[in-house]
Amino acid sequence: MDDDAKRLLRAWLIMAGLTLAAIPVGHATTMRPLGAGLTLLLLGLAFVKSALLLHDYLDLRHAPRWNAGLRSGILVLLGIIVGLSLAAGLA
Amino acid sequence: MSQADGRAAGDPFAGLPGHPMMWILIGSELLVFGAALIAFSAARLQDPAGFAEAQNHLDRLTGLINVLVLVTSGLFAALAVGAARIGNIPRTRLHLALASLLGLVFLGFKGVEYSSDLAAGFTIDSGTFFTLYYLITGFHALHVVLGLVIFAVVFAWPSHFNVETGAAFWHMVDLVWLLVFPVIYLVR
Repeated sequence: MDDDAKRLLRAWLIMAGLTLAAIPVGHATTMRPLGAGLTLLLLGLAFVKSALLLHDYLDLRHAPRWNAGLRSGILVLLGIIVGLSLAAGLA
Repeated sequence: MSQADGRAAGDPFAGLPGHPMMWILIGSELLVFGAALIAFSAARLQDPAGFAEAQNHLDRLTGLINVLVLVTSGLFAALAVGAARIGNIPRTRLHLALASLLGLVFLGFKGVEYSSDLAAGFTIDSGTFFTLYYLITGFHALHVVLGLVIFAVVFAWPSHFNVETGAAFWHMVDLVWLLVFPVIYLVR
Protein backbone atom coordinates (compact mmCIF):
# COMPACT_ATOMS: atom_id res chain seq x y z
CA MET A 1 0.00 0.00 0.00
CA ASP A 2 1.49 3.39 -1.02
CA ASP A 3 1.67 6.48 1.19
CA ASP A 4 -1.36 8.13 -0.44
CA ALA A 5 -3.52 5.06 0.14
CA LYS A 6 -2.36 4.90 3.78
CA ARG A 7 -3.22 8.59 4.23
CA LEU A 8 -6.68 8.07 2.74
CA LEU A 9 -7.31 5.00 4.87
CA ARG A 10 -6.27 6.92 8.00
CA ALA A 11 -8.67 9.76 7.06
CA TRP A 12 -11.47 7.22 6.48
CA LEU A 13 -10.84 5.57 9.87
CA ILE A 14 -11.00 8.92 11.67
CA MET A 15 -14.15 10.00 9.80
CA ALA A 16 -15.84 6.65 10.49
CA GLY A 17 -14.90 6.88 14.17
CA LEU A 18 -16.23 10.45 14.45
CA THR A 19 -19.44 9.34 12.71
CA LEU A 20 -19.92 6.55 15.26
CA ALA A 21 -19.21 9.06 18.04
CA ALA A 22 -22.32 10.91 16.88
CA ILE A 23 -24.46 8.05 18.27
CA PRO A 24 -23.83 8.93 21.94
CA VAL A 25 -23.12 12.63 21.34
CA GLY A 26 -26.29 13.15 19.27
CA HIS A 27 -28.44 10.80 21.40
CA ALA A 28 -29.16 8.95 18.17
CA THR A 29 -30.94 6.08 19.89
CA THR A 30 -33.10 8.13 22.26
CA MET A 31 -35.42 11.12 22.05
CA ARG A 32 -33.60 13.13 24.70
CA PRO A 33 -32.83 16.76 23.81
CA LEU A 34 -29.16 17.62 23.26
CA GLY A 35 -28.59 20.88 25.06
CA ALA A 36 -26.00 23.51 24.15
CA GLY A 37 -22.84 21.51 24.96
CA LEU A 38 -23.74 18.42 22.93
CA THR A 39 -25.04 20.54 20.03
CA LEU A 40 -21.68 22.29 19.89
CA LEU A 41 -19.79 19.01 20.15
CA LEU A 42 -21.95 17.33 17.49
CA LEU A 43 -21.45 20.13 14.96
CA GLY A 44 -17.78 20.25 15.93
CA LEU A 45 -17.50 16.60 14.90
CA ALA A 46 -19.15 17.47 11.58
CA PHE A 47 -16.62 20.27 11.07
CA VAL A 48 -13.62 18.01 11.74
CA LYS A 49 -14.98 15.40 9.29
CA SER A 50 -15.56 18.12 6.67
CA ALA A 51 -12.02 19.44 7.12
CA LEU A 52 -10.58 15.92 6.71
CA LEU A 53 -12.63 15.39 3.56
CA LEU A 54 -11.36 18.64 2.07
CA HIS A 55 -7.74 17.97 3.02
CA ASP A 56 -7.43 14.27 2.21
CA TYR A 57 -10.26 13.09 -0.05
CA LEU A 58 -10.35 16.26 -2.17
CA ASP A 59 -6.58 16.62 -1.80
CA LEU A 60 -6.82 20.36 -1.17
CA ARG A 61 -3.53 20.24 0.72
CA HIS A 62 -2.11 21.18 -2.70
CA ALA A 63 -4.42 24.24 -2.82
CA PRO A 64 -4.03 25.71 0.68
CA ARG A 65 -5.97 28.91 -0.01
CA TRP A 66 -8.97 27.00 -1.34
CA ASN A 67 -8.67 24.57 1.56
CA ALA A 68 -8.68 27.39 4.11
CA GLY A 69 -11.44 29.28 2.29
CA LEU A 70 -13.80 26.31 2.11
CA ARG A 71 -13.01 25.31 5.69
CA SER A 72 -13.75 28.85 6.84
CA GLY A 73 -17.02 28.89 4.89
CA ILE A 74 -18.13 25.66 6.55
CA LEU A 75 -17.12 27.03 9.96
CA VAL A 76 -19.22 30.16 9.37
CA LEU A 77 -22.17 28.03 8.21
CA LEU A 78 -21.96 25.78 11.27
CA GLY A 79 -21.56 28.83 13.51
CA ILE A 80 -24.80 30.29 12.16
CA ILE A 81 -26.55 26.93 12.62
CA VAL A 82 -25.25 26.62 16.19
CA GLY A 83 -26.51 30.13 16.94
CA LEU A 84 -29.95 29.44 15.48
CA SER A 85 -30.17 26.05 17.19
CA LEU A 86 -29.24 27.44 20.59
CA ALA A 87 -31.74 30.28 20.10
CA ALA A 88 -34.42 27.67 19.29
CA GLY A 89 -33.50 25.84 22.50
CA LEU A 90 -34.02 29.03 24.46
CA ALA A 91 -37.30 29.95 22.71
CA MET B 1 -0.32 16.07 -7.60
CA SER B 2 -3.33 17.24 -9.51
CA GLN B 3 -3.85 17.90 -13.18
CA ALA B 4 -4.15 21.54 -12.19
CA ASP B 5 -0.46 21.72 -11.36
CA GLY B 6 0.27 22.60 -14.95
CA ARG B 7 -1.70 25.84 -14.64
CA ALA B 8 0.05 29.19 -14.84
CA ALA B 9 1.26 30.94 -11.70
CA GLY B 10 -1.46 33.23 -10.38
CA ASP B 11 -4.23 31.04 -11.79
CA PRO B 12 -6.92 31.10 -9.09
CA PHE B 13 -7.66 27.43 -9.79
CA ALA B 14 -4.02 26.34 -9.35
CA GLY B 15 -3.74 23.20 -7.21
CA LEU B 16 -7.41 22.27 -7.52
CA PRO B 17 -8.10 18.75 -8.78
CA GLY B 18 -10.20 18.33 -11.92
CA HIS B 19 -11.90 20.77 -14.26
CA PRO B 20 -12.25 24.40 -13.02
CA MET B 21 -15.92 24.45 -14.08
CA MET B 22 -16.58 21.61 -11.67
CA TRP B 23 -15.27 23.83 -8.88
CA ILE B 24 -17.63 26.63 -9.87
CA LEU B 25 -20.44 24.07 -9.71
CA ILE B 26 -19.19 22.75 -6.34
CA GLY B 27 -19.04 26.29 -4.92
CA SER B 28 -22.56 27.12 -6.06
CA GLU B 29 -23.96 23.81 -4.77
CA LEU B 30 -22.36 24.34 -1.36
CA LEU B 31 -23.94 27.80 -1.21
CA VAL B 32 -27.37 26.38 -2.08
CA PHE B 33 -27.19 23.60 0.51
CA GLY B 34 -25.73 26.01 3.08
CA ALA B 35 -28.65 28.40 2.54
CA ALA B 36 -31.09 25.49 2.82
CA LEU B 37 -29.61 24.37 6.15
CA ILE B 38 -29.71 27.93 7.48
CA ALA B 39 -33.37 28.18 6.35
CA PHE B 40 -34.09 24.86 8.11
CA SER B 41 -32.46 26.08 11.34
CA ALA B 42 -34.28 29.42 11.13
CA ALA B 43 -37.61 27.64 10.62
CA ARG B 44 -36.88 25.59 13.75
CA LEU B 45 -36.82 28.87 15.68
CA GLN B 46 -40.51 29.35 14.89
CA ASP B 47 -41.54 25.95 16.24
CA PRO B 48 -38.78 24.16 18.18
CA ALA B 49 -41.16 21.74 19.92
CA GLY B 50 -42.89 20.80 16.64
CA PHE B 51 -39.54 20.25 14.91
CA ALA B 52 -38.27 18.07 17.78
CA GLU B 53 -41.46 16.00 17.74
CA ALA B 54 -41.34 15.57 13.93
CA GLN B 55 -37.62 14.74 14.03
CA ASN B 56 -38.27 11.88 16.47
CA HIS B 57 -40.10 10.07 13.63
CA LEU B 58 -36.95 9.99 11.47
CA ASP B 59 -34.76 6.90 11.43
CA ARG B 60 -31.57 8.40 12.88
CA LEU B 61 -29.53 5.20 12.67
CA THR B 62 -30.28 4.77 8.96
CA GLY B 63 -29.20 8.37 8.38
CA LEU B 64 -25.99 7.67 10.31
CA ILE B 65 -25.32 4.42 8.42
CA ASN B 66 -25.68 6.46 5.24
CA VAL B 67 -22.92 8.79 6.49
CA LEU B 68 -20.65 5.74 6.81
CA VAL B 69 -21.73 4.51 3.38
CA LEU B 70 -20.90 7.83 1.68
CA VAL B 71 -17.65 8.31 3.59
CA THR B 72 -16.57 4.82 2.48
CA SER B 73 -17.70 5.53 -1.07
CA GLY B 74 -15.60 8.72 -0.97
CA LEU B 75 -12.58 6.63 0.07
CA PHE B 76 -12.94 4.48 -3.06
CA ALA B 77 -13.42 7.59 -5.23
CA ALA B 78 -10.18 9.04 -3.82
CA LEU B 79 -8.39 5.71 -4.36
CA ALA B 80 -9.64 5.75 -7.98
CA VAL B 81 -7.91 9.12 -8.46
CA GLY B 82 -4.66 7.63 -7.13
CA ALA B 83 -4.93 4.62 -9.45
CA ALA B 84 -5.70 6.87 -12.44
CA ARG B 85 -2.66 9.01 -11.60
CA ILE B 86 -0.32 6.05 -12.19
CA GLY B 87 -2.33 4.87 -15.20
CA ASN B 88 -3.69 1.71 -13.59
CA ILE B 89 -6.97 1.59 -15.51
CA PRO B 90 -8.31 -1.75 -14.15
CA ARG B 91 -7.80 -0.58 -10.56
CA THR B 92 -9.29 2.83 -11.38
CA ARG B 93 -12.40 1.16 -12.75
CA LEU B 94 -12.60 -1.23 -9.77
CA HIS B 95 -12.53 1.67 -7.30
CA LEU B 96 -15.05 3.65 -9.35
CA ALA B 97 -17.35 0.63 -9.43
CA LEU B 98 -17.10 0.19 -5.64
CA ALA B 99 -17.74 3.91 -5.08
CA SER B 100 -20.79 3.72 -7.37
CA LEU B 101 -22.08 0.55 -5.70
CA LEU B 102 -22.00 2.31 -2.33
CA GLY B 103 -23.81 5.27 -3.92
CA LEU B 104 -26.56 2.85 -4.91
CA VAL B 105 -26.59 1.47 -1.35
CA PHE B 106 -27.05 5.05 -0.08
CA LEU B 107 -30.02 5.53 -2.42
CA GLY B 108 -31.43 2.16 -1.33
CA PHE B 109 -31.34 3.13 2.34
CA LYS B 110 -32.84 6.53 1.51
CA GLY B 111 -35.61 4.85 -0.47
CA VAL B 112 -36.42 2.51 2.44
CA GLU B 113 -36.43 5.50 4.78
CA TYR B 114 -38.78 7.50 2.53
CA SER B 115 -41.09 4.48 2.18
CA SER B 116 -41.23 4.12 5.95
CA ASP B 117 -41.90 7.86 6.45
CA LEU B 118 -44.66 7.86 3.82
CA ALA B 119 -46.22 4.65 5.21
CA ALA B 120 -46.38 6.35 8.61
CA GLY B 121 -48.28 9.23 6.99
CA PHE B 122 -45.46 11.77 6.89
CA THR B 123 -45.59 13.42 3.46
CA ILE B 124 -44.10 16.64 2.09
CA ASP B 125 -47.31 18.37 3.30
CA SER B 126 -46.94 17.19 6.92
CA GLY B 127 -45.71 20.52 8.29
CA THR B 128 -42.64 22.70 7.77
CA PHE B 129 -40.19 20.12 9.15
CA PHE B 130 -41.18 17.42 6.69
CA THR B 131 -41.45 19.86 3.77
CA LEU B 132 -37.84 20.96 4.34
CA TYR B 133 -36.71 17.41 5.15
CA TYR B 134 -38.01 16.03 1.85
CA LEU B 135 -36.76 19.03 -0.16
CA ILE B 136 -33.22 19.05 1.26
CA THR B 137 -32.65 15.29 1.41
CA GLY B 138 -34.45 14.76 -1.93
CA PHE B 139 -32.31 17.42 -3.62
CA HIS B 140 -29.24 15.75 -2.14
CA ALA B 141 -30.37 12.33 -3.39
CA LEU B 142 -30.72 13.82 -6.90
CA HIS B 143 -27.08 14.90 -6.63
CA VAL B 144 -26.13 11.33 -5.70
CA VAL B 145 -27.91 10.16 -8.87
CA LEU B 146 -26.06 12.79 -10.92
CA GLY B 147 -22.79 11.68 -9.32
CA LEU B 148 -23.49 8.09 -10.38
CA VAL B 149 -24.13 9.25 -13.95
CA ILE B 150 -20.82 11.18 -13.91
CA PHE B 151 -19.03 8.06 -12.58
CA ALA B 152 -20.55 5.98 -15.39
CA VAL B 153 -19.13 8.43 -17.95
CA VAL B 154 -15.74 8.52 -16.18
CA PHE B 155 -15.74 4.69 -16.03
CA ALA B 156 -15.90 4.66 -19.84
CA TRP B 157 -13.17 7.33 -20.23
CA PRO B 158 -10.99 6.96 -17.11
CA SER B 159 -8.27 9.56 -17.75
CA HIS B 160 -6.68 11.06 -14.64
CA PHE B 161 -8.30 14.43 -15.37
CA ASN B 162 -11.77 12.90 -15.82
CA VAL B 163 -11.49 10.79 -12.66
CA GLU B 164 -10.33 13.82 -10.63
CA THR B 165 -13.25 15.88 -11.94
CA GLY B 166 -15.83 13.17 -11.23
CA ALA B 167 -14.40 12.42 -7.79
CA ALA B 168 -14.45 16.14 -6.88
CA PHE B 169 -18.21 16.22 -7.53
CA TRP B 170 -18.70 13.02 -5.51
CA HIS B 171 -16.76 14.42 -2.55
CA MET B 172 -18.98 17.52 -2.64
CA VAL B 173 -22.05 15.24 -2.38
CA ASP B 174 -20.35 13.42 0.51
CA LEU B 175 -19.48 16.72 2.23
CA VAL B 176 -23.07 17.96 1.99
CA TRP B 177 -24.40 14.80 3.70
CA LEU B 178 -21.83 15.23 6.50
CA LEU B 179 -23.56 18.57 7.22
CA VAL B 180 -27.18 17.63 6.42
CA PHE B 181 -27.23 14.58 8.69
CA PRO B 182 -26.48 16.22 12.06
CA VAL B 183 -28.53 19.36 11.34
CA ILE B 184 -31.71 17.59 10.20
CA TYR B 185 -31.55 14.28 12.09
CA LEU B 186 -29.83 15.06 15.38
CA VAL B 187 -29.79 18.72 16.47
CA ARG B 188 -32.80 19.40 18.71
